[in-house]
Amino acid sequence: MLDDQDMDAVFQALASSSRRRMLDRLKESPGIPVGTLAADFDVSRIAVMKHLRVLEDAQLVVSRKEGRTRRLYFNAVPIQLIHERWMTDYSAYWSGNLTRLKYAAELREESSQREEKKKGRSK
Amino acid sequence: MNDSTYAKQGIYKVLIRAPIETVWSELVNTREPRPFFWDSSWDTNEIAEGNAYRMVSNKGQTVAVVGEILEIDPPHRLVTSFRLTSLDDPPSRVTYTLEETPEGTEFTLITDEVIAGSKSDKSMADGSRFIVANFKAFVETGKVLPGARLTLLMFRLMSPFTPKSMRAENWPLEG
Repeated sequence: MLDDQDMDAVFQALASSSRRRMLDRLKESPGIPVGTLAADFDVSRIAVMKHLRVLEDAQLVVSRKEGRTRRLYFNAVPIQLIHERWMTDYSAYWSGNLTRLKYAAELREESSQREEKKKGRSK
Repeated sequence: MNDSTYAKQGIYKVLIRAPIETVWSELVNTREPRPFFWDSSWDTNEIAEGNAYRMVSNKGQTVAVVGEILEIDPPHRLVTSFRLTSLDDPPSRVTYTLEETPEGTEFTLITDEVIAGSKSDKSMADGSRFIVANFKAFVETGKVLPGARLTLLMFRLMSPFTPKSMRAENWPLEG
Protein backbone atom coordinates (compact mmCIF):
# COMPACT_ATOMS: atom_id res chain seq x y z
CA MET A 1 0.00 0.00 0.00
CA LEU A 2 1.33 3.36 -0.99
CA ASP A 3 0.72 6.18 1.45
CA ASP A 4 -0.80 9.45 0.21
CA GLN A 5 2.53 11.11 -0.34
CA ASP A 6 3.93 8.18 -2.34
CA MET A 7 0.81 8.03 -4.45
CA ASP A 8 0.86 11.79 -5.11
CA ALA A 9 4.40 11.39 -6.41
CA VAL A 10 3.34 8.61 -8.80
CA PHE A 11 0.38 10.53 -10.20
CA GLN A 12 2.39 13.73 -10.53
CA ALA A 13 5.08 11.81 -12.36
CA LEU A 14 2.52 10.29 -14.72
CA ALA A 15 0.81 13.65 -15.35
CA SER A 16 3.16 14.51 -18.21
CA SER A 17 3.06 13.11 -21.72
CA SER A 18 6.86 13.30 -22.06
CA ARG A 19 7.38 11.31 -18.90
CA ARG A 20 4.81 8.72 -19.97
CA ARG A 21 6.63 8.39 -23.29
CA MET A 22 9.91 7.93 -21.43
CA LEU A 23 8.35 5.08 -19.46
CA ASP A 24 7.18 3.52 -22.73
CA ARG A 25 10.73 3.72 -24.01
CA LEU A 26 12.18 2.17 -20.83
CA LYS A 27 9.65 -0.62 -20.83
CA GLU A 28 10.62 -1.43 -24.43
CA SER A 29 14.36 -1.31 -23.72
CA PRO A 30 15.18 -2.15 -20.11
CA GLY A 31 18.68 -0.99 -19.16
CA ILE A 32 18.86 1.75 -21.78
CA PRO A 33 21.70 4.23 -21.01
CA VAL A 34 20.66 7.74 -20.00
CA GLY A 35 22.39 9.25 -23.04
CA THR A 36 20.50 7.02 -25.48
CA LEU A 37 17.20 7.92 -23.87
CA ALA A 38 18.04 11.63 -23.96
CA ALA A 39 18.94 11.42 -27.66
CA ASP A 40 15.49 9.98 -28.40
CA PHE A 41 13.71 13.01 -27.00
CA ASP A 42 13.51 16.32 -28.67
CA VAL A 43 14.27 18.33 -25.54
CA SER A 44 17.47 19.40 -23.81
CA ARG A 45 19.46 16.89 -21.79
CA ILE A 46 18.78 19.01 -18.73
CA ALA A 47 15.03 18.68 -19.28
CA VAL A 48 15.40 14.91 -19.67
CA MET A 49 17.38 14.72 -16.42
CA LYS A 50 14.68 16.70 -14.67
CA HIS A 51 11.97 14.33 -15.91
CA LEU A 52 14.06 11.35 -14.85
CA ARG A 53 14.47 12.81 -11.38
CA VAL A 54 10.68 13.08 -11.03
CA LEU A 55 10.22 9.51 -12.27
CA GLU A 56 12.90 8.21 -9.92
CA ASP A 57 11.41 10.02 -6.94
CA ALA A 58 8.14 8.27 -7.67
CA GLN A 59 10.09 4.98 -7.98
CA LEU A 60 8.72 4.49 -11.48
CA VAL A 61 12.31 4.43 -12.72
CA VAL A 62 15.29 2.72 -11.17
CA SER A 63 18.79 3.60 -12.33
CA ARG A 64 21.88 1.50 -11.87
CA LYS A 65 25.49 2.33 -12.56
CA GLU A 66 27.41 -0.06 -14.76
CA GLY A 67 30.95 1.16 -15.15
CA ARG A 68 30.57 4.69 -16.41
CA THR A 69 27.09 4.15 -17.85
CA ARG A 70 23.92 4.89 -15.94
CA ARG A 71 21.28 2.42 -17.04
CA LEU A 72 17.56 2.97 -16.59
CA TYR A 73 14.81 0.50 -15.80
CA PHE A 74 11.04 0.87 -15.62
CA ASN A 75 9.70 -0.26 -12.23
CA ALA A 76 6.08 -1.42 -12.48
CA VAL A 77 5.53 -1.93 -8.75
CA PRO A 78 3.96 1.50 -7.94
CA ILE A 79 1.43 0.99 -10.74
CA GLN A 80 0.70 -2.51 -9.48
CA LEU A 81 -0.02 -1.04 -6.04
CA ILE A 82 -2.37 1.57 -7.52
CA HIS A 83 -4.15 -1.15 -9.44
CA GLU A 84 -4.55 -3.19 -6.25
CA ARG A 85 -6.15 -0.26 -4.44
CA TRP A 86 -9.10 0.09 -6.81
CA MET A 87 -9.44 -3.09 -8.79
CA THR A 88 -9.72 -5.70 -6.05
CA ASP A 89 -13.43 -4.98 -5.38
CA TYR A 90 -14.10 -6.49 -8.73
CA SER A 91 -12.51 -9.71 -7.56
CA ALA A 92 -15.47 -10.42 -5.24
CA TYR A 93 -17.24 -11.71 -8.32
CA TRP A 94 -14.43 -14.15 -8.95
CA SER A 95 -14.22 -15.25 -5.34
CA GLY A 96 -17.88 -16.32 -5.53
CA ASN A 97 -17.16 -18.35 -8.62
CA LEU A 98 -14.03 -19.82 -7.05
CA THR A 99 -15.89 -20.99 -3.98
CA ARG A 100 -18.33 -22.82 -6.23
CA LEU A 101 -15.39 -24.32 -8.09
CA LYS A 102 -13.94 -25.48 -4.76
CA TYR A 103 -17.13 -27.32 -3.88
CA ALA A 104 -17.25 -28.89 -7.31
CA ALA A 105 -13.63 -30.01 -7.04
CA GLU A 106 -14.12 -31.44 -3.56
CA LEU A 107 -17.23 -33.32 -4.59
CA ARG A 108 -15.36 -34.78 -7.50
CA GLU A 109 -12.48 -35.80 -5.27
CA GLU A 110 -14.78 -37.41 -2.72
CA SER A 111 -16.65 -39.37 -5.34
CA SER A 112 -13.43 -40.58 -6.96
CA GLN A 113 -12.18 -41.69 -3.52
CA ARG A 114 -15.43 -43.58 -3.00
CA GLU A 115 -14.98 -45.23 -6.39
CA GLU A 116 -11.49 -46.32 -5.45
CA LYS A 117 -12.67 -47.75 -2.15
CA LYS A 118 -15.40 -49.67 -3.94
CA LYS A 119 -12.86 -51.06 -6.37
CA GLY A 120 -10.59 -52.00 -3.45
CA ARG A 121 -13.40 -53.95 -1.79
CA SER A 122 -14.48 -55.80 -4.90
CA LYS A 123 -10.93 -57.15 -5.47
CA MET B 1 25.09 -19.05 -24.34
CA ASN B 2 25.63 -15.49 -25.45
CA ASP B 3 24.09 -12.44 -23.84
CA SER B 4 21.33 -11.97 -26.40
CA THR B 5 19.82 -15.29 -25.30
CA TYR B 6 18.97 -13.68 -22.01
CA ALA B 7 16.25 -11.14 -21.39
CA LYS B 8 17.36 -7.83 -19.94
CA GLN B 9 17.52 -7.66 -16.16
CA GLY B 10 14.16 -7.16 -14.51
CA ILE B 11 14.12 -4.71 -11.61
CA TYR B 12 11.26 -4.45 -9.11
CA LYS B 13 11.63 -1.98 -6.29
CA VAL B 14 9.56 -0.74 -3.40
CA LEU B 15 9.94 1.23 -0.19
CA ILE B 16 8.94 -0.79 2.86
CA ARG B 17 8.22 1.26 5.96
CA ALA B 18 9.99 -1.02 8.41
CA PRO B 19 13.51 -1.42 9.81
CA ILE B 20 15.93 -3.31 7.61
CA GLU B 21 16.33 -6.10 10.20
CA THR B 22 12.58 -6.74 10.18
CA VAL B 23 12.43 -6.82 6.40
CA TRP B 24 15.37 -9.21 6.24
CA SER B 25 14.02 -11.59 8.87
CA GLU B 26 10.65 -11.78 7.10
CA LEU B 27 12.39 -12.53 3.80
CA VAL B 28 14.49 -15.41 5.16
CA ASN B 29 12.00 -16.80 7.70
CA THR B 30 12.18 -20.57 7.18
CA ARG B 31 9.67 -21.49 9.91
CA GLU B 32 6.41 -20.26 8.40
CA PRO B 33 4.89 -20.19 4.91
CA ARG B 34 5.59 -16.91 3.15
CA PRO B 35 2.29 -15.51 1.78
CA PHE B 36 4.16 -13.25 -0.66
CA PHE B 37 5.81 -16.39 -2.12
CA TRP B 38 2.37 -17.93 -2.75
CA ASP B 39 2.28 -19.46 0.72
CA SER B 40 5.36 -21.58 0.09
CA SER B 41 8.16 -22.08 2.64
CA TRP B 42 11.91 -22.12 2.30
CA ASP B 43 13.06 -25.71 2.60
CA THR B 44 16.82 -25.83 3.17
CA ASN B 45 19.25 -27.00 5.83
CA GLU B 46 20.09 -23.34 6.33
CA ILE B 47 19.95 -20.25 4.15
CA ALA B 48 23.70 -20.20 3.71
CA GLU B 49 26.01 -19.90 0.72
CA GLY B 50 26.26 -23.06 -1.35
CA ASN B 51 23.15 -24.72 0.12
CA ALA B 52 20.35 -26.06 -2.01
CA TYR B 53 16.82 -24.88 -1.31
CA ARG B 54 13.26 -25.71 -2.38
CA MET B 55 10.09 -23.64 -2.11
CA VAL B 56 7.60 -26.08 -0.67
CA SER B 57 3.83 -25.67 -0.32
CA ASN B 58 0.62 -27.64 -0.01
CA LYS B 59 1.69 -29.50 3.17
CA GLY B 60 5.03 -30.48 1.71
CA GLN B 61 3.52 -32.03 -1.40
CA THR B 62 4.36 -29.36 -3.94
CA VAL B 63 7.68 -27.83 -4.94
CA ALA B 64 7.38 -24.73 -7.13
CA VAL B 65 10.99 -23.57 -7.17
CA VAL B 66 14.39 -25.23 -6.73
CA GLY B 67 17.78 -23.58 -6.57
CA GLU B 68 20.88 -22.75 -4.62
CA ILE B 69 21.86 -19.95 -2.27
CA LEU B 70 24.65 -18.30 -4.26
CA GLU B 71 25.46 -15.40 -1.99
CA ILE B 72 24.22 -14.05 1.32
CA ASP B 73 25.11 -10.85 3.17
CA PRO B 74 22.57 -10.21 5.96
CA PRO B 75 20.65 -7.93 6.08
CA HIS B 76 21.55 -6.49 2.67
CA ARG B 77 21.73 -9.07 -0.03
CA LEU B 78 20.59 -12.55 -0.99
CA VAL B 79 21.39 -14.10 -4.36
CA THR B 80 19.77 -17.36 -5.44
CA SER B 81 19.64 -19.53 -8.48
CA PHE B 82 16.02 -20.05 -9.38
CA ARG B 83 14.28 -22.72 -11.40
CA LEU B 84 10.52 -23.08 -11.83
CA THR B 85 9.64 -26.77 -11.57
CA SER B 86 6.54 -26.33 -13.72
CA LEU B 87 8.59 -25.24 -16.74
CA ASP B 88 11.42 -26.71 -18.72
CA ASP B 89 13.66 -23.63 -18.69
CA PRO B 90 17.19 -23.57 -17.26
CA PRO B 91 17.79 -21.88 -13.89
CA SER B 92 17.97 -18.10 -13.76
CA ARG B 93 19.14 -15.86 -10.97
CA VAL B 94 17.11 -13.87 -8.46
CA THR B 95 18.75 -11.24 -6.25
CA TYR B 96 17.12 -9.48 -3.33
CA THR B 97 18.71 -6.29 -2.02
CA LEU B 98 17.77 -4.26 1.04
CA GLU B 99 18.92 -0.70 1.60
CA GLU B 100 18.32 1.37 4.69
CA THR B 101 16.85 4.85 4.06
CA PRO B 102 15.46 7.47 6.46
CA GLU B 103 11.89 6.41 5.52
CA GLY B 104 12.42 2.68 5.84
CA THR B 105 13.96 -0.03 3.72
CA GLU B 106 14.27 -0.01 -0.04
CA PHE B 107 13.67 -3.53 -1.22
CA THR B 108 14.64 -4.56 -4.73
CA LEU B 109 14.14 -7.84 -6.56
CA ILE B 110 16.33 -8.34 -9.62
CA THR B 111 15.93 -11.13 -12.18
CA ASP B 112 18.91 -12.11 -14.34
CA GLU B 113 19.80 -14.79 -16.87
CA VAL B 114 16.21 -15.48 -17.82
CA ILE B 115 15.94 -16.86 -21.37
CA ALA B 116 14.37 -14.09 -23.46
CA GLY B 117 10.82 -14.83 -24.57
CA SER B 118 10.65 -18.08 -22.56
CA LYS B 119 7.69 -19.03 -20.40
CA SER B 120 9.88 -18.33 -17.36
CA ASP B 121 10.44 -14.80 -18.66
CA LYS B 122 6.73 -13.97 -18.57
CA SER B 123 6.07 -15.93 -15.42
CA MET B 124 8.92 -14.29 -13.51
CA ALA B 125 7.92 -10.77 -14.58
CA ASP B 126 4.36 -11.30 -13.31
CA GLY B 127 5.60 -13.13 -10.25
CA SER B 128 8.16 -10.50 -9.29
CA ARG B 129 5.53 -7.75 -9.25
CA PHE B 130 3.35 -9.96 -7.06
CA ILE B 131 6.19 -10.71 -4.66
CA VAL B 132 7.42 -7.13 -4.25
CA ALA B 133 3.96 -5.54 -3.86
CA ASN B 134 2.81 -8.19 -1.43
CA PHE B 135 6.05 -8.38 0.52
CA LYS B 136 5.62 -4.67 1.29
CA ALA B 137 2.00 -5.18 2.36
CA PHE B 138 2.90 -8.23 4.45
CA VAL B 139 5.78 -6.58 6.32
CA GLU B 140 3.82 -3.36 6.94
CA THR B 141 0.42 -4.82 7.83
CA GLY B 142 0.89 -8.55 8.49
CA LYS B 143 -1.32 -9.33 5.49
CA VAL B 144 -0.89 -9.56 1.74
CA LEU B 145 -3.07 -7.42 -0.53
CA PRO B 146 -6.74 -8.38 -1.08
CA GLY B 147 -6.08 -9.41 -4.69
CA ALA B 148 -3.31 -11.72 -3.51
CA ARG B 149 -5.52 -13.26 -0.84
CA LEU B 150 -7.83 -14.27 -3.65
CA THR B 151 -4.93 -15.69 -5.66
CA LEU B 152 -3.81 -17.70 -2.61
CA LEU B 153 -7.34 -19.02 -2.13
CA MET B 154 -7.35 -20.11 -5.76
CA PHE B 155 -4.01 -21.87 -5.25
CA ARG B 156 -5.40 -23.81 -2.31
CA LEU B 157 -8.49 -24.77 -4.29
CA MET B 158 -6.42 -25.92 -7.23
CA SER B 159 -3.96 -27.94 -5.14
CA PRO B 160 -5.62 -31.29 -6.00
CA PHE B 161 -4.77 -30.52 -9.64
CA THR B 162 -1.09 -29.75 -9.08
CA PRO B 163 0.86 -30.85 -12.18
CA LYS B 164 2.95 -33.99 -11.72
CA SER B 165 6.10 -32.04 -12.58
CA MET B 166 5.69 -30.04 -9.36
CA ARG B 167 5.25 -32.95 -6.96
CA ALA B 168 7.75 -32.90 -4.12
CA GLU B 169 8.94 -36.48 -4.70
CA ASN B 170 10.33 -35.39 -8.07
CA TRP B 171 12.45 -32.68 -6.48
CA PRO B 172 14.46 -34.00 -3.52
CA LEU B 173 16.47 -31.40 -1.64
CA GLU B 174 19.99 -31.76 -3.03
CA GLY B 175 23.17 -31.52 -0.99
